[in-house]
Amino acid sequence: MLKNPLFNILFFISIFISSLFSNDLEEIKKRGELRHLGFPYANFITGLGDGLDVELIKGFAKYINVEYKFVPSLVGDIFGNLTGQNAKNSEKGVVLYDNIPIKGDVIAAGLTILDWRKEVVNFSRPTFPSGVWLVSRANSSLVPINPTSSINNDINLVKKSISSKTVLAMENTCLDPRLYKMKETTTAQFKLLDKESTKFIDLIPAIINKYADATLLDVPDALIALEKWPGEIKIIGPISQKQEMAVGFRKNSPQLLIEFNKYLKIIREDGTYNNLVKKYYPDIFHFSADFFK
Amino acid sequence: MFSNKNIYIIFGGIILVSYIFALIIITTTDQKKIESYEKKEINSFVQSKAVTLEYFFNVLKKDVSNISENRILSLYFLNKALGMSMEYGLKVSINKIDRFLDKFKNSQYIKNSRIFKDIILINKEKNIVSENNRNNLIDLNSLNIESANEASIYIDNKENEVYILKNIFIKEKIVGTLVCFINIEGIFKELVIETEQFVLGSKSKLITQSKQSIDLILKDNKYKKIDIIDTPFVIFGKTSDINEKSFFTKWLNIFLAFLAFPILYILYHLLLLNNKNIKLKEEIKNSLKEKQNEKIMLQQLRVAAIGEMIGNIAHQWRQPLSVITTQATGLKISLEYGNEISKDELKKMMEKINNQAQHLSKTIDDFRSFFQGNINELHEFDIRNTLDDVRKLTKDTFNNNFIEYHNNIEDCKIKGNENILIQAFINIYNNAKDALSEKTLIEKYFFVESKVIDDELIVIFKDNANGISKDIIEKVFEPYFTTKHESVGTGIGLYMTNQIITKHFKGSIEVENEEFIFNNKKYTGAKFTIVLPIREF
Repeated sequence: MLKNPLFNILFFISIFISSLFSNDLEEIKKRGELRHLGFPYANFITGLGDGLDVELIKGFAKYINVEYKFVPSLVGDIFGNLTGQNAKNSEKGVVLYDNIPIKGDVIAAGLTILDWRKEVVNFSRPTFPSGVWLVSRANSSLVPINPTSSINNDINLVKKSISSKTVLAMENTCLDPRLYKMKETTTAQFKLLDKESTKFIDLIPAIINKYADATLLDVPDALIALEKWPGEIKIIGPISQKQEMAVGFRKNSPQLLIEFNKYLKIIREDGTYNNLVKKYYPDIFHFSADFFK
Repeated sequence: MFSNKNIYIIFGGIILVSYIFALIIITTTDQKKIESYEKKEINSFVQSKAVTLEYFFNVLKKDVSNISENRILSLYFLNKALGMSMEYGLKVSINKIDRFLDKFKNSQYIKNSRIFKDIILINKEKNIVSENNRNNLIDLNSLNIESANEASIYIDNKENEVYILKNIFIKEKIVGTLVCFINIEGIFKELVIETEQFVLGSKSKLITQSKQSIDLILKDNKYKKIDIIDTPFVIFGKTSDINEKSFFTKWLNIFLAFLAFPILYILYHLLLLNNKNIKLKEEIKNSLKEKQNEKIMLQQLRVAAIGEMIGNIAHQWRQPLSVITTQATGLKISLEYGNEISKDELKKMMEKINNQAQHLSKTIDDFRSFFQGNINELHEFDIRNTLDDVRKLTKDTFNNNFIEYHNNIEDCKIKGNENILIQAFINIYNNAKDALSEKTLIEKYFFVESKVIDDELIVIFKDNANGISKDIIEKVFEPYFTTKHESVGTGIGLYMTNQIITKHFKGSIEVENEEFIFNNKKYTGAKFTIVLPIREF
């Protein structure tokens, strides 16, 4: 829970106010439209009208018999566009700030399940495996680790290797170095990208252009990057434990969440979901085969 | 000996057989020509197949060359060179390679056949990099990757596999090699189609399936061999049509040749049939001639019989005429000399004359009824009446010769022409009369006996004229055989009797000499036994 009592009060008031304008399943059905919040991110939302999450939510909209609508958002506004108030992570916990208009009903944009995010939104059952890797340009002096059988050891090896290196990161995302106590455990210098103006897809060009020695990158994005910039980047090793992505729902949309989980179960069981994943992330099966069993 | 028909048959047979042989010769000659044309055709056909395969393999090599340059293949080597680990990034590269190779492999079809059996990526150490495609179809250590800078086709003779090798370069250095195993059977089947006629091989071994070995194919002149340029392949082609047609022609010729046998067989039997016809005609002709002769003889017999009858009439008439003459002469003398003749005497004399005249008239009637009969008319008659008639006709003759007549006749009715039978019997009577009159015998006997045994009437005529000489007894039924003076006998009497009994009455007649006792005296004579069937005919 939030540590500041004032924030607590404000948080619950905001929840209360939001619930007055509840946008749960019934209202969405009445409205006849499911609004999908997202931003172009890897192959989840390609920006060309398709992507794994676009197709997933389109399928869900069809499942609940409403129209689908994509509502573009920004990395920094994505929670606010769902709940009506922006939220961010801090050393003290979740911080709620600016009230902004609610624009959507679900967030699906390769949203990694993080503890602080769980306080802001309800997550569906996991939809995608993830993790965070350290990626450097090919001609960097950083050397990929020699993997051990332990992920923790591998993380430590990576952290050691980046001492005194510059590393790109993004706060309030899964690439937030605070999540992995990097500042405490490494001597690396972090360059934090502006959440307002920078998109995830800018990270690789930044390191290729020597803006930094390396960058944090989640696994799905790294897989795309390896394909996009062959021979120009290299994976050094893991920074995080294995993570999972999911679809985010307003706290006051429990029925919508339940319905989505039902839908997800159906398409995972009938193979529709795996086919979707195969279409956008064919390599992910080898990264986390158990997840898709 | 050959009739005209036989000559026609033989001539027809020769023409037919010649026609068949001409057909065989023409067919065989035509076949040779066709084979010659087809040989030329197959040569160009094999050439066209070789060109097709050459073009196809060139395109295939180009395709392999193109995919070898795809960055997905080199990415693995790049990432590996960058030191990336399998767990973190490198495995993804391998997966991409697998997917890429799979996609390429699965998209390469020629009609319904896959072009590639498998495609693997190996590194410089000849270890397989790709994970999905790990079918180790050949010993990789035997690969000569140094020569695979350009996509080239190779044959693994040990495993009978065909593959394309193409090295992968990064900055002009070989980092790996693509090994593409070709589904050569499938490609060959789809491109060549007529796989029965064509075989693909190297210079020392066959690659596609064939019933024959390479050695046999190399020795077989029917196979045209053409090297497929820029490949290690040789295509061997022959035309199955030639074989099939040769096979057909061969059997057609054999059939035609064998056709000659039944024709000859039929002709042979036609000849036999014709000969039989000729014989039959001869026999019919002879039979008709015989019948004609028989008719003539019958006529002669009739004439002879008439002669005999006239003799008999003369005998019959002599006595009554003598009585009439005596009575008439006595009456005339009495009238000339004025002797008185009483009315009773005159009446007696007139009655005598009248009686004798009546006798003469009856005699005439008897003979006339005999001669008037139609010999072709069949009717039922009693043998007793017949023998009585014969007796009447011969009675006077027998009496004049003092022959004693004895009979023992059993009634029996038979069918036939009675007059002819009378004629037959009269001949035997006359024969006996002549034999008895020639002999100076005190007692002259003629016995007639008839009896019925089962379905047969047995008639026996027997005399006591000492029998017939053994030298001639077997010839008495032959025509124109006679022991009598030519003024008396014609030699056809007993022959005609034999003919009448055997041919007209379907019976039999035998003659033998027999010793017998009559009135306690022993006699010898000829015995004629006639057997007549009692049935309708």
